[in-house]
Amino acid sequence: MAKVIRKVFPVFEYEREEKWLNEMVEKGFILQHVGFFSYHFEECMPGEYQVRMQLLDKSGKSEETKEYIAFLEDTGIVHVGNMFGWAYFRKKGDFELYSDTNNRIRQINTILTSLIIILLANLMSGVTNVLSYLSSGNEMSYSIIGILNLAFVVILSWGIWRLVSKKRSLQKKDDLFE
Amino acid sequence: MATGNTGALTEAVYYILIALMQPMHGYGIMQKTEELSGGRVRLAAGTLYGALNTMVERGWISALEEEEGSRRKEYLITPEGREILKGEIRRLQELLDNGKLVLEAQNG
Repeated sequence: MAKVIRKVFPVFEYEREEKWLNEMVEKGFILQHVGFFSYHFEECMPGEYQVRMQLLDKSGKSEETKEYIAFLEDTGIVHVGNMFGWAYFRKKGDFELYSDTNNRIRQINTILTSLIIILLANLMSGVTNVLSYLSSGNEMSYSIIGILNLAFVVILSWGIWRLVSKKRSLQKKDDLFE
Repeated sequence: MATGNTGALTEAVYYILIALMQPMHGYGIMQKTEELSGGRVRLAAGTLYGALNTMVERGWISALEEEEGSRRKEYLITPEGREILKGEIRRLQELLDNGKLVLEAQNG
């Protein structure tokens, strides 16, 4: 029996998303295909698979990404699909994509860069809109858009803070062990 | 040779160099490493891919000509890679010798 679940995870919650996908495996559903905010599952033995996600450096269609995915598939990992720059993989039994901290930190840095760009764009747009409402008595809609921008900035800051503290704890571990 | 002060190799890089004394593709390196370390060191595929690319760039290993119709690349250690490996073995030997010496002096 196939199952489709529509769900949205913010980008900085990728670990919660991965955890949820693996909890689905415990319940006997393994990710088969990803679509626009939708997860398609097929039945499996509970706990039979492990699901992993990775933010791709390049577009999913680039040669580098194709080569990387082909390399992973040679080791028995199955590429389930891509959604918003993230690749989803599954394999029977336990597996990790990364056995070292450096690569995990690099992945967090990639996410941080894109979040900070989005944050700055929203901050600028928010401030401009609110100011233009206050100073020239422009239409109310300006201030609403501005306030939405600023609310988004607050959510993003929270996400960025969470990623930065995660990165710090990874770096701390790295001081003693390779 | 730049083997004097390059610091410690990661376990992954060390085992990749050892495995590539004979031509091998990615999955083969993972299996060889697990076998040699008695299951202790398990290379993750993403980590291995990144390490292989960096090591090719540095000239420590080289990718062999691909077989017709196959996407699988085989890799082999280069003379420079052998020097790196020898340097690392010397470094590890020093650590071992000093550690044993101190412990033996204390026990004896």
